[in-house]
Amino acid sequence: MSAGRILIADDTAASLSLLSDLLEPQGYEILEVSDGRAAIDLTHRAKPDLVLLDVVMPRSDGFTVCRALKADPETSDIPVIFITSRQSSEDIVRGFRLGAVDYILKPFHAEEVITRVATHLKLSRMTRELIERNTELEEEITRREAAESARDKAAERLSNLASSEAKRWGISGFVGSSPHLRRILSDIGKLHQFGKTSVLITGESGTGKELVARAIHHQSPRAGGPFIAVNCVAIPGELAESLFFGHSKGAFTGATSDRKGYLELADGGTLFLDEIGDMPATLQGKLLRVLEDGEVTPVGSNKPRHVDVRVVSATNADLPDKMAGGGFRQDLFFRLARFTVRTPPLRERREDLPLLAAHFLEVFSWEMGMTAPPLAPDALELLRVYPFPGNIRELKNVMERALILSGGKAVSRQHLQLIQETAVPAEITKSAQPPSHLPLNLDAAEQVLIQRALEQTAGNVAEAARLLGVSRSRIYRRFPHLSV
Amino acid sequence: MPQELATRLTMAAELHSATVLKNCLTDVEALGPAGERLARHLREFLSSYDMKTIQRLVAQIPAA
Repeated sequence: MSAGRILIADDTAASLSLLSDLLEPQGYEILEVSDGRAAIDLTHRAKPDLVLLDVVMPRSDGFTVCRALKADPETSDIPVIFITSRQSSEDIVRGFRLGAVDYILKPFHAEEVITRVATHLKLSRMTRELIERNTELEEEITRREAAESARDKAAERLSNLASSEAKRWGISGFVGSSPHLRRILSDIGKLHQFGKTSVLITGESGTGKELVARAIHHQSPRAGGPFIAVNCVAIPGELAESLFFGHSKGAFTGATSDRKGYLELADGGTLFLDEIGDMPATLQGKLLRVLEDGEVTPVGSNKPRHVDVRVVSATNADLPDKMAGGGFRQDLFFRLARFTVRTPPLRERREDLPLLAAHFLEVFSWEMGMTAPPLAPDALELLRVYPFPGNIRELKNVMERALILSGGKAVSRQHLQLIQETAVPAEITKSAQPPSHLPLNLDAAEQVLIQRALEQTAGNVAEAARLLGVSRSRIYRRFPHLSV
Repeated sequence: MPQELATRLTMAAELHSATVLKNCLTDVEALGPAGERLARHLREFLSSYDMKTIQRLVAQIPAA
């Protein structure tokens, strides 16, 4: 392999031969032409690393050749050295202005030519490498800018998502003003400082245990971390260990790659174990060990990994009863129930019912793109006495169905389809029947309704006011004698 | 003349590569007395930069 390819253009055979004999022993491949046009043509075809140009040549002089080579992007980077006997300053300056890198005067010294050629070849190679490296760097910068832009967008989306999640699941998501709810909110507030304390939430189905769990997460310093919700009932026994602790590739048939378990996925955040009372006994012991050690070992691996997880669990089962029967480990119970929150059934916080019903109407109306309709007094009266065995979840379903049935108009009793209608006291059902004989005049109708309410409550004004959904003063204004 | 040598000679002449041509002519000389005569002949054209004639002559030589 040659040290470089050099094109020599000179119409003097002796000069060409001299230069060739000088440079060939240095390891260069020499291309020879004796006129200007041939020099241009060969430079395009052979792409030499350097061109040595005589100035005076037939068919295009050296200056014309240099101008042509520098004007063409394909040959403009090839260094050109003039080697001539024309010594005038004008010619020298002209040569450099046309883009030549050097100007050697004849008669030349052999060492001078060898050194200058070697220097310009080296400079040319370094320049080329610099340009290539610069291009690579520019491409790398473009790739990095695109990656940074994508990362910024993802971070922005994540931030928006996190704030909307916090807004959705934080304390502001709770509706009501009952003492029960205030106590729950107070408990969540107290837990804020204790981000590692395990919490057990107990309560009937549909009382909002997951809502409380999410609020605990979003009100804690772990809010920026993940919230992983797992329903222990839905986990197949044979996969439980892999799902909780993860597995390494090849641990069992079908384990084609490493996979993180719930505990690792929740690292830095909260693991919510719903229906903890139904966790398989074999898994209980292993979970306890992980919670005690703070380390998880994936199935098929012998390398434990440290995890920082707060466990919030929930159950509607009677865990002390289960422990007595041997269905739940006592040590795990005490590990999980460092702090306990009870979510009361809806029947114990009926004062929150109007707010909750209105809230659900508003939420579903917004989802359906309509204005939230009002809840008629007869509907509210029925809701107040209904036992709601399915708790808030049942109320939510009832309100969604009622909104659809009402078609966006005021939701009245007839739109409520309650599962256990028989549980509603008969007198309420009777009084709530549409009064066909009511006068159409609003003032007169109010008079009739108050009278009927008073009859039904044996003259108890407070109870009648509750049934009507009005204040007692309104009844007293109608029947002043009652206040005596 | 071997085909490979003929090809090298033709390409060198096309690119006016005096260096490669000289190397090729050394190889041609090594082919024997006929080769020596041919090399001497081609060197005359090389010294006058007549690459086209070199190409034409090489093309006329039957491949070995």
